[in-house]
Amino acid sequence: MKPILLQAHERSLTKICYNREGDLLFSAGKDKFPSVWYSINGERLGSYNGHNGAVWSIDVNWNSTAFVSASGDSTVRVWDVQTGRERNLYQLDTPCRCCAFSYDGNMILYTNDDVMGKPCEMYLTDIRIRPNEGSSVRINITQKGLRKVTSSLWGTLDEFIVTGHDNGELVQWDIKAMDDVRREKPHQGQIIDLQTNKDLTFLISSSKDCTAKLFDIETLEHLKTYTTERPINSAAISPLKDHVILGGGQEAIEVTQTAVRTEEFARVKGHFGPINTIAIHPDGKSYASGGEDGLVRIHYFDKDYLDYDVVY
Amino acid sequence: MINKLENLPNEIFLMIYSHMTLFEIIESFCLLNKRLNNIIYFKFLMNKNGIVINKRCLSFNKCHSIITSKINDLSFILNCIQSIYIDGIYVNCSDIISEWIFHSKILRFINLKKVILRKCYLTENLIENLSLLIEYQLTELVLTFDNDVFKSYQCQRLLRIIRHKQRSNLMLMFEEFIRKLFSNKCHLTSLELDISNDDTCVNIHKFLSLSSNINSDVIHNEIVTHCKSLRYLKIDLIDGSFLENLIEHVPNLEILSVQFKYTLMEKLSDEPQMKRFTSGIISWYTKTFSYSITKKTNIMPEQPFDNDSTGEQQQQQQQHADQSNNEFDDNSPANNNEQSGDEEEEEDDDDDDENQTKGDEDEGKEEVEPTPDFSDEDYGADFPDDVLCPELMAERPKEHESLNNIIVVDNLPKVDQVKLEKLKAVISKVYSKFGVCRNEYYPLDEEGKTKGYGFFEFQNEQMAIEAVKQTDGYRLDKNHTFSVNLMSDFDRLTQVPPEPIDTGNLFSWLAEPDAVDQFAVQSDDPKKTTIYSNALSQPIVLEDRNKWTENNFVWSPKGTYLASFHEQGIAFWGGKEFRQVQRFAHRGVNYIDFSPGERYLVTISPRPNNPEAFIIWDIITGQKKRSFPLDQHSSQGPSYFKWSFQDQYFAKQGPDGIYMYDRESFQLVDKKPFKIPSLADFQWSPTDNRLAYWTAEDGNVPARLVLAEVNGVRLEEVRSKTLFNVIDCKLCWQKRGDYLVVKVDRYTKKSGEKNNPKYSGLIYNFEIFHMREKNVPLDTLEVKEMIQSFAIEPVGHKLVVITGENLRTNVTFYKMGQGQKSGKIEPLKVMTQPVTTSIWAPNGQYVVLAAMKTGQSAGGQLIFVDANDMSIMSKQEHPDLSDVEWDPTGRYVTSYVTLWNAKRDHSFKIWTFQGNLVFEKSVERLVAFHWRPRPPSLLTEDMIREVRRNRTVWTPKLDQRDRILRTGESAKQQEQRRKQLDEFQRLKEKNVKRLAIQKQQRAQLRGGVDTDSLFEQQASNVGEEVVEFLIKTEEVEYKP
Repeated sequence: MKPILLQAHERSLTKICYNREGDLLFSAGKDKFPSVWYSINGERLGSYNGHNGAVWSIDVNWNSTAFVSASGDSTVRVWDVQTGRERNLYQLDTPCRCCAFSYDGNMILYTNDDVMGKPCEMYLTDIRIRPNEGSSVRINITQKGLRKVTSSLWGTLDEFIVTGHDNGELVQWDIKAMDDVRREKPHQGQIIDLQTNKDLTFLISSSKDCTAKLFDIETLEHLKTYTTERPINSAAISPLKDHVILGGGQEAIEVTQTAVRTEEFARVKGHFGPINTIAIHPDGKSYASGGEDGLVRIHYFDKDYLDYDVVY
Repeated sequence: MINKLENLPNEIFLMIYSHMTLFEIIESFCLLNKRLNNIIYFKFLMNKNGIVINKRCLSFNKCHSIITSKINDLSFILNCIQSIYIDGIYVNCSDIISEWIFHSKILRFINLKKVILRKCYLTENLIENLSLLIEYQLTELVLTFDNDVFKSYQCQRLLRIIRHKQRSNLMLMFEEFIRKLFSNKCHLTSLELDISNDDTCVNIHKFLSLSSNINSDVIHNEIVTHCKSLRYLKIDLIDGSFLENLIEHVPNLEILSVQFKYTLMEKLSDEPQMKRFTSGIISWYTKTFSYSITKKTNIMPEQPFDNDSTGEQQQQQQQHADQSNNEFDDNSPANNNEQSGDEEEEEDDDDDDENQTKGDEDEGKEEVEPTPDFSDEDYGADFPDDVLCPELMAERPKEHESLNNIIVVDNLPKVDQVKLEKLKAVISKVYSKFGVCRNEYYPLDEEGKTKGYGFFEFQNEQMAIEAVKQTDGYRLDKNHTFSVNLMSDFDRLTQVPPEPIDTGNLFSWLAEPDAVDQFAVQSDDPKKTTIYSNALSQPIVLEDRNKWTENNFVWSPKGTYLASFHEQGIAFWGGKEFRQVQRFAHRGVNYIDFSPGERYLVTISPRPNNPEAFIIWDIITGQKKRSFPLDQHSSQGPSYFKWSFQDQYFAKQGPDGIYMYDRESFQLVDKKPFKIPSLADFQWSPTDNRLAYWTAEDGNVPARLVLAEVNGVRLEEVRSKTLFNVIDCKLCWQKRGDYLVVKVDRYTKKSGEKNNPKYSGLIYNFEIFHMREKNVPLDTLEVKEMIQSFAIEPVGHKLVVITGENLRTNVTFYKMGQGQKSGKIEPLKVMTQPVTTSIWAPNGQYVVLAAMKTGQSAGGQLIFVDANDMSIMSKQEHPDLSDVEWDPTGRYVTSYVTLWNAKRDHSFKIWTFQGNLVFEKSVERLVAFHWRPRPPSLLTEDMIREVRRNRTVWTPKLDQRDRILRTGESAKQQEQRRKQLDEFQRLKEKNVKRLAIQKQQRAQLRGGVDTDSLFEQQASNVGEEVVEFLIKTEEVEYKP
């Protein structure tokens, strides 16, 4: 089956994500307009207009009502998914890098960069509180002796947060204590992306050091390493099979089997230039990739792949 | 009596006087008359003006009476006395001195300069007098404080006569005296002081140290002064501290001689003392002009003090100063001696004698060096004769090392003792003609029979050599033929050349049960050659070596050897472990060429003026068979020599024909080349002793295409064709030798100069010889388009021709007719595919059409075609493709990209014959990839046909085998994978449990909605929904 090509953005993609049901696909690029699409046919529903800079990160809550985006214009905005209206705006001092919704969909976490002499900080905010009223939790990352946060996500039951850092460090933060509880340094290069599997038990990190690594999300215990010859920009865990998809490098993305061995068994070409972001459909039967070329490609797995099962 | 005495001459008187003491002289002769007085005076003058008062002298009373009675009259005598020696062991010295020397405090001896005082009791009077003397009179003083000195004092103490304070008075006086000795009140120039018998209760040694004077207020207040006059000081002492204190007071001291009673170390084992001493010594050293320290061990308490000569000796022995000081030292004792009195000298002599003998003894002990003893009669017996008389020994008869004059005769008849004599006679008769047989020896066995051989010694080597030459192979009788050798050759003959290295079975790789093929891959930088076995699941590395070869490797045509290139030559590797099998030394070798039967190797080192540019080797033995120089005019290349199919002939293209050589003699067949004018090229048939050649156009003579057969020494033409307007021909034999296909390029128009002709209107056609048909029929196939490449089916009758330019190419399959149909070449199928080359499987039927990388395009297309029905089985890609190679069995094809073709992504891919990718591997800087060839099958045509017919029987078995191999490919790896999988499953199960526990919490977080199963519910509950999309809008005119 031919992939569906979405002429998504004028500039390169930064992040794509499916909503929980998988019917919607959100995409963000270096242009100012994060968009939402029907994943089934690639029809654009609309875009969230308002940002004044590249959008680095987006996320959608579990019931697809709110959508958060972090932008280089030093703002984090929460949007109404259905209407595209801006619900909240959080103004920061420096460009915002990451944002993510909590499991319950009420909290967001966002971080900003440590530029212009300002420290890298992480904020936790309840979106139900209006930005100028409620005081959000604020953690100074730089003060903790850590490099800037390049990726982040919420852990199980909203009890902790995992952040990936510029120097390849992986840090787990306890939300109640507001302090780091675990620090690992699994990568030699920047951790570009962090993703979990569907039930939030595993965590996959993708790094510039050409490896992707699988961890247990609670203990940060290292489980598997996937090595390629090119930098990995994004990695996703299949909900259907024990597989991961890695994207990055120059022109190829690779599909790798997680559980058994760290061996590559398929390679999908298509994008012109590196793949920046990858997301697997929640049903595991298709996945989308966003590239440097500004296109989003939705690939459906062949029947061969779905039937393929290694028996030992 | 007097008168008579007076008659005696003066000399007699002097002699008499010399046997008398002073007092005796005075008592006896003094004041008798003027002459005698003069003689006495002279006597004293001669004796260096010294008087000795000792035990031999009169008692005090006597002395006193004499002196006192006569002394006033004796002033002339007393005036001349400069030195007094008092050995007061029995004399109360103090009294004498006080009474006698000082007569009521008036000095009697006005010229007195030296006082020697020994063994006198210490009294206050004495000290007082001495103090005066040293202050005003004396220049030299010798004081010895032995045990006797303090005897009176000790007696007094014992008798408790003196009280504590009294003792102090005496001691204080004494102490003051000692201090005075080293003060400015003393005008001595020379002082000898012996305090080595210092009493513990007196402790002279401490007199000079300030700290000891606690009891004395007098001394305490005294200003420290110096004895500036003192030049010579000799001290016998116990403790160095005295010296240390002394040094401050004698700034002008020039010579110091110190004698320690005990050894330095023994006394100074006490550390603080030692320290004090050393520091003192250093200060001494800096201050004094010269000093000497004598360690005198075992000194006798009674030994006379004034042993000047020994002192001098020791002084000299222990001299630490430089030469000037030495001189000074030498002088000073002499001065002393001069100043000493005669009597003293006498005494000295006695003492000296004693000391001298003692010293001699000591010397004897010291110098126990072994003196050479020449009384040894055995001297020289150790030397060998040839050292003693080399001239004679040179002529001594020597043992003859060489065995050249001995011969060994084998195959002699074995005889017993009885017949031995007869045998000896016969044999000696045989050998007597060569010269005198000096010695003969027939070894015997236990039974006394000869062993069948003997040794004969000739007079010289020549005779022996001659005997060997003439009798080797000599027939004694019909059963016995001599085998004669020189004894010296024995070693050579017994030394059997070492067995060739056991390389194991060179064909072991063919015994691989699943007939798995091997291939070798070479990468550059690092130079690494890897040999893989193409096992079913994936290739397995058999051997991996760095720098195995310097630039290239070549498999031998049957795959037995792997040849590696080195600067020194070629090395062959083979066997199970790829050990070195053979070496061919040929410097600078660039190319090698095997004969098809793998019997001979041609190594080519194309350096100019190399007389051995080509060397032909026998591969098995490694022997060089023949070498050829480089022909300047002929083409160079790996196929310079072309071998016929069974290695029988090898031929090269010469200037005027074919030079064919025989493999037996390596000489030209018929001793001359086959003359073929304007020969362009020739090729051997791979299966017959036939060769095809063509001659180029030469002026009006047209080109000819000839098929010739080697018949004995002649080359017979079998078939020929004359061709016109030929530019070039390409001769191509089918692998089985069934067909010879010649591609002929012809022109319709020729222009330009002769040497650089330009052709236009090119026509291409094929001339096809049907070798297996009668009379070798010839077909011609015309092709309109430009031919890029063509390939004949190795086993079969098909021909693939690729025509066209760049990648706009057509692939045409032809069938070359056979049997009755010969003469007809029918095109089977034309495909329009962008490929450049076609590569047939080794056994035909399958062909890979490949687009190699060319200047215009990257190529990389691989089309797998089944030539049976001309169907395309699959199309694959390998960008930047360099070459395609079939494995020798035709089961797999490899495509690879080498360093020469592409900058990066060097790799090889292994496909099945159907075009399914089996394996791919990227090899950085890949240089070469080659399958290991296999020898031709030993099965006959019928057997192969039989196998084919029974394929249905074989297939299930083989499939099963494959399955087993596939599944059990590597049990270990599989086990590992299963383990990994199990581990991961356990992890997942754990997570599932965790999730189940947390389910409630999760639902709570999401407002009571169970999102875990929501999706599944949706998937099952939601029915089909029709979604309409507006794709295209079109305005349609409404027509009611």
